[in-house]
Amino acid sequence: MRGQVDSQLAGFIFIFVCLLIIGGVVAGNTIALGDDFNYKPLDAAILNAQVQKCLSLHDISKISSDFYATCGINESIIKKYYRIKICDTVECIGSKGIFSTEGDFEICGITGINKNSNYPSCSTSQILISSKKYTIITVSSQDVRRGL
Amino acid sequence: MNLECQRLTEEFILELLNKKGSVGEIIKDNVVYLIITALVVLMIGSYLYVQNNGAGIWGSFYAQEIVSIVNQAQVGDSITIDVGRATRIAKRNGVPFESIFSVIPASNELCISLSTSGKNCLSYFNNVVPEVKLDLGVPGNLLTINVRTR
Repeated sequence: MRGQVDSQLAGFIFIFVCLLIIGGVVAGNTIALGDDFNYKPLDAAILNAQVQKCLSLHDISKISSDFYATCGINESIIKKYYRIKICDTVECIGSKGIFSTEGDFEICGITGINKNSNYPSCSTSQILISSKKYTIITVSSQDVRRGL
Repeated sequence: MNLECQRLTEEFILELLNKKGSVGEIIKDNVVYLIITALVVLMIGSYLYVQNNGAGIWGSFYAQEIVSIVNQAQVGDSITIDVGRATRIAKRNGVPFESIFSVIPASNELCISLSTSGKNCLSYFNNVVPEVKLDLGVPGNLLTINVRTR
């Protein structure tokens, strides 16, 4: 019994030491070469600019009824990595909006969210169309995917 | 003194011979640990190799750069960028030039492969089809992105 406990303890210690070494190598490499550039704030800002452009070029009713075809944006990619909300009010996070994808927009109310690369990034803008103010919120959660 | 030394050596060899069977047992008992150690060493080695030869960081940089361009482009646009550093890293790592930049229009995905051990991919939301063409030594190595309608 004692031997079995000792063997299990040795296994745990071994795994712990392995994880410690992996963590140390990754941390050391990150300190020496720098962390990856956080692409998400720029990605969210580009999407926001594209939605702004679409709002200024097309009719609002057409956008709210057929957003993806009108704005030339790929629906499946948006549903996978992005969130978009368009409101005809200044306060947009909590409101229903004239167009909204599924997902949480509450995170955009957190100060400094774009500085943390572990969280999705937000971009908020306002645009004046026919003397009416529209608020656009875009969220990006897309990271560079590494694979074989 | 010499006799004493010889006796001690003989005893040591005998002890080793007696333990011959237990060496195999020790290896057998710790085979799991040996496999895990080999895997960890392999993981760390490949991670450091990819990171330190610039393939990871520069692959990620070019993927972000090109996807940003594609997302802001309009149908009919033709954009040319310098990809000299990417081609240098790819050549060093034995990646053929024609397989550095790849676009998968069906899934709106763009991938950059600067090493044989991995590639960096990002998706573009713009509903267009980018066609990439690499021109070598014009001067410099240039990548032209022609934006076509879907």
